[in-house]
Amino acid sequence: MYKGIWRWMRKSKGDFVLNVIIVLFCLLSVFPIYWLLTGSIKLPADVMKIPPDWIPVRVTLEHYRSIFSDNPAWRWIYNSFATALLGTAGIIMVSSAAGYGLSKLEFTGKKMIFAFVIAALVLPKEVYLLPLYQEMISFGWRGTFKALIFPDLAMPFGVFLLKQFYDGIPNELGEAAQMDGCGSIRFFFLFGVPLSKPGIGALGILAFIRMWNAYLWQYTMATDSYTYTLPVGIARLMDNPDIVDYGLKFAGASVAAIPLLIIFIFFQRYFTSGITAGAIKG
Amino acid sequence: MQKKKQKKMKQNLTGYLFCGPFLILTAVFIIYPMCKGIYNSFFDFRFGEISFVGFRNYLNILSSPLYRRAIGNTLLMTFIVVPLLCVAGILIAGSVFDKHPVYVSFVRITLYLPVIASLVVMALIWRFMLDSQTGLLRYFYNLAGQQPVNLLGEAKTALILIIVFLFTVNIGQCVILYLATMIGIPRDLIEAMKIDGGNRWDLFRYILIPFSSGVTLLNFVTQTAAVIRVFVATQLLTNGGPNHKTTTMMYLLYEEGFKNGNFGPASALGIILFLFSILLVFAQFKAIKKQDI
Repeated sequence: MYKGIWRWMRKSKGDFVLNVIIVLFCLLSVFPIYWLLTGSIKLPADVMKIPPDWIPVRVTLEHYRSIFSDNPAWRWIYNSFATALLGTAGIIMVSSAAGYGLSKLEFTGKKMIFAFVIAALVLPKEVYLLPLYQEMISFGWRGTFKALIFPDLAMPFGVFLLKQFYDGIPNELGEAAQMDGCGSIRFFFLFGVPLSKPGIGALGILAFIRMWNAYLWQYTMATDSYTYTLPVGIARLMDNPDIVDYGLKFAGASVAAIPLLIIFIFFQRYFTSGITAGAIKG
Repeated sequence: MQKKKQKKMKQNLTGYLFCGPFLILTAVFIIYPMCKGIYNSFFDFRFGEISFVGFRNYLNILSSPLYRRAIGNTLLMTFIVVPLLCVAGILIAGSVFDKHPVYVSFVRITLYLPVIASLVVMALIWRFMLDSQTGLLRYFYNLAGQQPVNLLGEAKTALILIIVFLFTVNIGQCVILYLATMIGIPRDLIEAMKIDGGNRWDLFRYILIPFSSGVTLLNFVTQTAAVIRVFVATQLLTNGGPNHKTTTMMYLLYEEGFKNGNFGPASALGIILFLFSILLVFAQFKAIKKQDI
């Protein structure tokens, strides 16, 4: 099958040229990451060398040691993991309940709520960033996990996505269960949640990446370096004029990228299927 | 009658039980701040007191060169990057989808890694590499026998670089979605076209593009929403400079609101940003709908 198509492709030269360009583009697109990771383990003298060492010759882990000993970097990693995990769990709970309600239950005002969900899909948080910021200050939440988690829990895209999945569960199943005396809530936990597992997985991955990589809100909510999340802490580190050692900067940026890169490489299959299942269904 | 009413009551109760958490969170963390933002946009917060100024914040924005430049830059980036992403996405996915699965995975992973590494990290690496004193770019200038130039220090090249940056960090998402759709197209259809003597161009023209119009709309909408609020790229690559020449709406909103405490115009700018995104998304829905007919 593939061989046949391959042969056919070879016949059209344009396709071949295009694929060569694509391969080059792919290599270019990962090159910065390669350059970053290799730069982070080079000796300070080699980092800025010209002509550059394309492959590190002299290797050191000194930069990583000093990132972790001179900065509360473990704390940043902990903050990022804790808020992203708790936030993702919360988003899944809130969205699956609301998605189920909008898909399978009949009640007054349902249409209006769904219309709002659709409109809110394109509403960026940045539009109400300032008032939300003031709200957080009046709650006294600035500098706490609450400020990083709660405003993200109501995720219109999540509700929309899971509603699509519940729509795929036949209504007859619910009706049959009701005949047997199974109420909505029990049905939701017994059948709804297990049957929408792919949707929940997709949403979980999307929400986790989104929360892990979030920057602006996390930045404005931080009060001191102990409340930074990883991206914020690393970005601040780069602005520090005292740090002139580029190896250290490379290591800092690597620390910000490595956790999610490792997760991605191990769970690559779930990532791509999750992202596409989510988006194409949605 | 009584029974029916009771049943309806119970239904409503269960419905709101399920949607309750979402509704409460939305009210507190989305609707309330949103309304407050609209309210704020009609006031002036400077000089210690709050005074009602009507539409003056909006008028000032439209007449201020700085705000106009921010709006212009934002729209320029959106109008260039988003269509480019969709065209390149179709070209890349369409050239790759019927090749060996290992190759498909290679393309998918390499293009998606920058998304995973996050905008912040990618912006930092770009800054390292482009630095005219210490970056890798010097090497290429040396090869060409020229003095290194600070590309991020010139308004024109900085804008171009931001656009290229936005393209490279967002293309992965587009390609993944296009690939998933194109791999799902029935093979018989493609085989049939081959037998009819169709070439690669016909494949794009008659099968790939029409079949993935849904994803095109999705990409257009999500990428517009992502690019129009560009912030990280400007803050970390250029700080809006030189001389505010590369500032964007979101960056200016942040500077005015958080740094200068100028809440009124910043809120108004936020509302304008929202109106632009709604308008663009609406136009895209319309355009795609028309094509389908």
